[in-house]
Amino acid sequence: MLGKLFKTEFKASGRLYLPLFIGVIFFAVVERIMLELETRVSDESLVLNILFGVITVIFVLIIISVCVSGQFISIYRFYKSVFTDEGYLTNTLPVSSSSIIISKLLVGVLYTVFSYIVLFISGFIMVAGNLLTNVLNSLRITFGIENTQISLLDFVLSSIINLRLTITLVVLLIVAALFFNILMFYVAFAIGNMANRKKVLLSIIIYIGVVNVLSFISAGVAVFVDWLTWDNVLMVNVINITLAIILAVIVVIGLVCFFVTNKIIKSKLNLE
Amino acid sequence: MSEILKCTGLTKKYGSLVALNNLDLSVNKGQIIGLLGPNGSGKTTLIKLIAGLLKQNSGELTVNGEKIGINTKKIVSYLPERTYIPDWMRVVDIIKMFENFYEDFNIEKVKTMLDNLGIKFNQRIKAMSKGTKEKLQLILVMSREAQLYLLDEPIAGVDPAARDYILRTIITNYNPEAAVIISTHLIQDIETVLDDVIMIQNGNLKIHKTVDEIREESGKSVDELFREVFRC
Amino acid sequence: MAWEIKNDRPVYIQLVEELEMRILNGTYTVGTKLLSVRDLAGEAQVNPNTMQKALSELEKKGLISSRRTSGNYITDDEKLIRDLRTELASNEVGEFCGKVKKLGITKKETIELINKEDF
Repeated sequence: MLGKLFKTEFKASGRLYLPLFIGVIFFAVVERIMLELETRVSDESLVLNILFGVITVIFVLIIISVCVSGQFISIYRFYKSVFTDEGYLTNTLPVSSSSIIISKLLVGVLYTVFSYIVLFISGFIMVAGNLLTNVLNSLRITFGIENTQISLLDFVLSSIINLRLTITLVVLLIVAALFFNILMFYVAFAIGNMANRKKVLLSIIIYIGVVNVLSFISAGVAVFVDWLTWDNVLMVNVINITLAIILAVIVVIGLVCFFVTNKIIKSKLNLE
Repeated sequence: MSEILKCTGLTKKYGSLVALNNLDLSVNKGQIIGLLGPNGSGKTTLIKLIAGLLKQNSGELTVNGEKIGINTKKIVSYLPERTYIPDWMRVVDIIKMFENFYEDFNIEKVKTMLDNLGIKFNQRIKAMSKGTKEKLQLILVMSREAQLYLLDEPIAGVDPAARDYILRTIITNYNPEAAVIISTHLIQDIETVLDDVIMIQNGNLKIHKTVDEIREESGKSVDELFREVFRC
Repeated sequence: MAWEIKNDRPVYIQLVEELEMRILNGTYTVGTKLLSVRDLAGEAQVNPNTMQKALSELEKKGLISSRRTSGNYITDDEKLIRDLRTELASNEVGEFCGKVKKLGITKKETIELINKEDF
């Protein structure tokens, strides 16, 4: 059932995301073309300048939309399909409440990642060519460290290998954060839904509450790390331990959010 | 076992408001039951409990001997009062969804009924009138070969011609292995279609008799008896 | 072919009467097959169980025979139908005459009135 729910939600969310993604890439291409024209055409054409201005404005707006809506669309989809009239359909399907949550969470995370990829592609379209050759060239620059010559590229590659634990933790942390960000909204909606009136207000309060709990714990972690920074502990180990603790905290709070949301949808649903 | 639904001591509260009070009820297969009562009497609460959208505070509720859960959702077909099909879908989308999730969905029935009511596959839900949306939802619900149908006000928002079609569909869809519970306040139109009548007031069961029993004993139609019992 | 079901009397009794009427006056031809219980109920907009009850009642009277796999058939016993029709009609005539006699009218006048009616 999870697969079916995933597919259904993927398509439903795709309707909202796809136009945005296509729009961004389209305007990135157009903007890039205009940019090239601007630099090549020495003729101070007024029409061209206005056109360039307009397209730039649209482009920037779309970029902002993608950044904002990356997650917003996902949490909107969750709210709409579980807690509004559509909930009469979703919650009477012969599926478990946990599969409903997990399928929508996965789709949300996936599309958030897609939106970042799309932003990256648009950025690439904008700077490809000159800047790219500049970056590639700089990688061949060599510099000296303690009497040995090493290229920037080699330096970056070897750092990656040496710091692989750190990098793994960072990647895990990013993934966990993607899930956690969305789950925070889920639990806020779920708890808000239990109220008979002022549901939105309660949801906002819960969300702020969870954010504060996280900040509080992060502060605690910072204090702990500070205490941990003894002279004979390697910097890299301190970093790794910090990352690991934050990762654990996010995973635990995330699981709590999940279980609370699940319990509410399963037994305390309050559709109007 | 010919019992498809059983409630014992079913109680549901919203805070201090008691929506259902210690309700005892039993429905057998092959019955078409009318759930009657004024607004706020607990009809919709009972239906939502059976559909799995609410959890009771106390008491037992089983469908086909099983507690409410995924297995009962597979055999219960629920028509809520609201429109629950997402606006952006087309008819074909919601049909595919039902086909996907419900094993007992009969696609041939759907096609026939859509044809009869002149609803096309690629129509957008957004562009439909309220009446058409309600007809579509009813078609989807009745096209499932379910064991228990829960219809919450199936004819309230529909024109008289469609009303006739809907009632005829409920009748000709009759399956001796299934039961239909219709919750409505439009008693007059539906009386003759019912086996049993269940009247609820303030969460309490007031009357549970067959239509003909009521007519014989009181010399009145169910509609008239209802007006008497629930006189304001 | 609308079925008129009134509000104050049990449904199944009214169904029995209506089905009987249709058989007696030939609306349902002798020996033919009836619609299925479900379709009849749908036409009359009544509960199938109630329709079934009415049909069983008619079976007891001998007006319908139920063949398990193929459904319900109107009897081809024309004499039974004629006799029943005569019996019901003479009941009505008896009642009618009783009422009319109270007005003081004579038999001759009554027959004249009847002759004016379209049959």
